[in-house]
Amino acid sequence: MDLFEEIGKKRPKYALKYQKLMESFARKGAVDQKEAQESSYDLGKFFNTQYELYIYATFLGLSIDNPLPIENAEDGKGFIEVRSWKPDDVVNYLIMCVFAKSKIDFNDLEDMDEMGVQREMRAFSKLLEAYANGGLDYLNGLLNKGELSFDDDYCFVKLLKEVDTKD
Amino acid sequence: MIIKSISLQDFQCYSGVHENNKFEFEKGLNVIIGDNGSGKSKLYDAFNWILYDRVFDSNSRGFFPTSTIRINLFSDKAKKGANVGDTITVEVKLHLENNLSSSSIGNEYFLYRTYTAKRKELIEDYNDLKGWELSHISTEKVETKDVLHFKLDNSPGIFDKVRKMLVPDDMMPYLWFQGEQVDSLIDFKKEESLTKAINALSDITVYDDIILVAEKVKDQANSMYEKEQSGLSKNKSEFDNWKTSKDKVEGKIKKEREVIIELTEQVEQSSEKINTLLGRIEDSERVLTLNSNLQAEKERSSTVSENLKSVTQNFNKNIFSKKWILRNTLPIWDEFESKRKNYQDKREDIVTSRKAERQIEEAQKMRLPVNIPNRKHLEDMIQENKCFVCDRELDEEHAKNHVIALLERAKNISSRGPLTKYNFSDFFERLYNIGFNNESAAKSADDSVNREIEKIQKLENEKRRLSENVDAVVQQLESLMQLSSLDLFTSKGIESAFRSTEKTKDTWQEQLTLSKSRLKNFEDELNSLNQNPPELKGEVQQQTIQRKELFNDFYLVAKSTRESVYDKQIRKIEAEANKHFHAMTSDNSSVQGRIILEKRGSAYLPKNVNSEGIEMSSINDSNIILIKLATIMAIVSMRGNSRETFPLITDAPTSKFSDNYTIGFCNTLGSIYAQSIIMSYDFFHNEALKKTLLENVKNVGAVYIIEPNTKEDNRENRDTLATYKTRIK
Repeated sequence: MDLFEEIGKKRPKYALKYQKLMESFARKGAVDQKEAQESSYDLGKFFNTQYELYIYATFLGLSIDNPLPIENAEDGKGFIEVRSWKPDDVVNYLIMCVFAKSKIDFNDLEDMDEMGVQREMRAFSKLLEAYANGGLDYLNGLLNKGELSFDDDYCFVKLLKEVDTKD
Repeated sequence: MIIKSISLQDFQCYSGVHENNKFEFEKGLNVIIGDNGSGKSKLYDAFNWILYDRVFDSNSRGFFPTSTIRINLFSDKAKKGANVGDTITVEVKLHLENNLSSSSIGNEYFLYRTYTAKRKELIEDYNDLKGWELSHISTEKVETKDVLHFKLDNSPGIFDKVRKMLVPDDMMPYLWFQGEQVDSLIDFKKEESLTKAINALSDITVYDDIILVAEKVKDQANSMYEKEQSGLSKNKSEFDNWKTSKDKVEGKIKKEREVIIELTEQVEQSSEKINTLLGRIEDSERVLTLNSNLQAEKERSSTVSENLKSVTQNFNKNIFSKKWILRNTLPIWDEFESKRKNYQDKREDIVTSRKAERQIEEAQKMRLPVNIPNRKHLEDMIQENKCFVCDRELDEEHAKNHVIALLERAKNISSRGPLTKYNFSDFFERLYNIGFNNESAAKSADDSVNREIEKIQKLENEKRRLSENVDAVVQQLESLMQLSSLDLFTSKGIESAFRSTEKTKDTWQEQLTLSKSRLKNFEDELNSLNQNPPELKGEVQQQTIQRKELFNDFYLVAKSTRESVYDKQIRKIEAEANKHFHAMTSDNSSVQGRIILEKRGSAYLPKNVNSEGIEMSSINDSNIILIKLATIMAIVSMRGNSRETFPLITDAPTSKFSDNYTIGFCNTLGSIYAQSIIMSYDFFHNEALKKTLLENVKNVGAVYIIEPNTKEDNRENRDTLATYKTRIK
């Protein structure tokens, strides 16, 4: 079994209540690289794709150690599979971080049968969603407080500096 | 005489009755301020119309009488509102006061000019003459103050008399003019222009009359002499031939001299133009260089701006491309490392124990192959507690354990496969390598961000610096272009104009040389004829000879006297004009030296010289207008009592000036004219200039602001147009 392949098939979700945030700060599907770059910039969209924002939110959630599970499946909205996310090394690094934070015992995982491994992968996916959700929740809070705006080109970079890794 | 007020009824854009269109004036400087098209020039026209029955047309740059202007004199509002049978009237009324008169009788006047039109037919185009019955001429009226009241004054010629008291005919061009007329009013290149000015000051025509008389008597004396010669000649026909030849040669000499004057003027004008161009070549080269620098700076600025835009747009991309996103993940990476180590250690343990088992097996394998004895037999042996090989009971623990171990060995071997069900070591190895490879990126994220921000700041600073450079060069260029009156197009053409003018001058010079050579030949011919007259029977009478010589000398003296008197007047005008020029330019430190009028043939051309008479700089268009205005003021101030009697009325005199000159001009007016009324655009949009006018200029009387009252989107439809005035001082 190839765990990269298993994880790659997943389509993590985000809470519906963050849909506006996702759409405000990211384009839904970059069409032309140059166009995406220029128009994203002009429209105040900081991320070329929604998954980029999602990855950002997940790292943010990991940094503040604030996993927020999506309680009901209906409250979540999925988008493209993990295997389509780019860049590869950042995505794999993210997977590494979620594994670090997960309760999965690496050795036990190897002794599980297929169903067991699938179950753990589902749990992994849920954990990833939870960290993403936590990150989105944090961003949403900043937006509501007026501490995040389209006018500051550097806000997302500054945020990385402002947030310390929480234990 | 001063103007106390003017009021208008339905005069062009001043629709409505007198009360709505009344301007009251005082002694000193009165200013009418308005935007382009607001009615300033129409007010100036009203002054002209009431006194001279004419209005000025900018397109043709000339005056037209009422009989030509006709229906266009009336306001659109009045024309639109007239029904068939209605009569509309345009009228201008002037209130004058003779401020030099001590009498209370006859020292105030009302002048009126009226013109009427009757609507005979309603045509959509109310300017169509077919719809109107127009008076042939306008009518004039004068009311003179009689102690307390104004009474109609029907004295013959009273209107013209009062008009001339206000503005003498010969002074009129220098008292009432539009800014665009200044150029032609004083044309230094044309003798008649200056002669007219000098005649306004002192009658130089008397000298012209003397010259005419001197020429006549000279010609008479010469004629008498020749007649006597003819009478004394031995051979009449030979004498007549000689005389004819002489007359011919003298005619040629006269003509050639005229040609030489013309050619000399052409050469001088070309030289003047070359000097002007020479002075401008340096400036034009500077303009072109500055422009080139400007383009280079703009290009540099544009490149930096593009670069900055690109870097800024890409800034957020670096979150992923330069892995700034990994900034806070080092502790998590440590956690993974730890988990992976544990995983590896455990796997290692499993591997180790497997190894140990293998070793035992290997050890056992040496003695017995696997499955020997087979499993069933071993199980039976344990069950029966008996070794089937040696047929002994397994009573010793050692023996029993050995059999059990053999059984276990079989089991282990049979069940031994991979260490674990799944081997995810590659997966975790890969994750580990990713973490390891990106650890330094995570550690150096801050430095990377700082470097990028620094790069952006540097570009922003560079952009700002280049933008300031561009502004500085633009300012330098605009200043130079304004001072030198050059634009880019002209600058580019200066050098070719210079070459072309040099060539033209050479051509004129060549022709002049040829002409002089011809003249010399004619003069030699004349000399030869004079030296070889036909033989005479006797001598011409002495008194005839003396008369001839006397009147010829008299003629020369008359000419040189006139020239001398003329030149003295020019010097006086020059001195007086310099006073006014310096007064007007006192706030502009770039204007130095004095103006002289240098004689060039029949013209007097202005030059700017220092105290030693050395030319300082060529005079630009703006200064030319100032010099001409100063000359006009000199003519007025030299007139003597002008200050006390004649008002100045001028429309847009300062349109080509910089702000400093405008204020200087306004201040100077007060010292020359007892009253001046100027229409000006300059103060309309320039609040600072207006403030200076109201607070710092001396002798300011009334100041009005005029504006049209129709909205901008209705200006094409003028039938509601009226002019709204506000007195602000």
